[in-house]
Amino acid sequence: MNEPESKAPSDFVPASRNGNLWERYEQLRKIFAASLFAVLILAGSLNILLLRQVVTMRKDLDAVRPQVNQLVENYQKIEDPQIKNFVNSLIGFGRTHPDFNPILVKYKITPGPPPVPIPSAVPMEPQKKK
Amino acid sequence: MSSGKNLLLLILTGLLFVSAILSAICVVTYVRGTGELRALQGKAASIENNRTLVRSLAAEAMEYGKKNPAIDPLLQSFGLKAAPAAPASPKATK
Repeated sequence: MNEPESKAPSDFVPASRNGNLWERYEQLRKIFAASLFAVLILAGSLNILLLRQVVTMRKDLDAVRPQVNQLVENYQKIEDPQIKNFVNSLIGFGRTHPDFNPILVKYKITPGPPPVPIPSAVPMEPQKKK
Repeated sequence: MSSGKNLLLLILTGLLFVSAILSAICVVTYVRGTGELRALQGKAASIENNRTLVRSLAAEAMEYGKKNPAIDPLLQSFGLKAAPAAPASPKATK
């Protein structure tokens, strides 16, 4: 069975004279075609799965993107200035009432030095009056 | 006959090549989309985290207000505490 493989290349007879070699070549071709077909089916299945995942992910993204963008916009326009103002006010309060500082420290809010707050106190005043 | 078989192999190989390219495109799209989705979810989570922290800070400030009412005007200015009702109004009606 393994005779042709064990022979040296010079011992090979031409394929036209050797029917066995031709049969083997045909068998190999059939096996290759069948394997190729199987791989193609596998790849096709994988592609279908991937496409479905992509479609689902895009739907999720299309649903989430406007919501998050609006959330971020609202937060930056409305909530963030209010939060900063509130925290600045608490920092200001903490300067006059040192017993409040542990609460600020707990939230990693650094009170800052007392003489500096003039620029930060300026925008806080009109907000407080509201 | 042989060329027909070769053509079949060629077509199968070509289809496999196209399928591989399609897979690569799908994977790249999926990875990018997932990254964007994660970034958006991260933004939303960050905002929600900030809100929770501020709510907690406000709650602690209100708790502090029970011991030291000096903070009440500040809390009232941010709508965290209702302004005290004027006690003179019932007397005025009487």
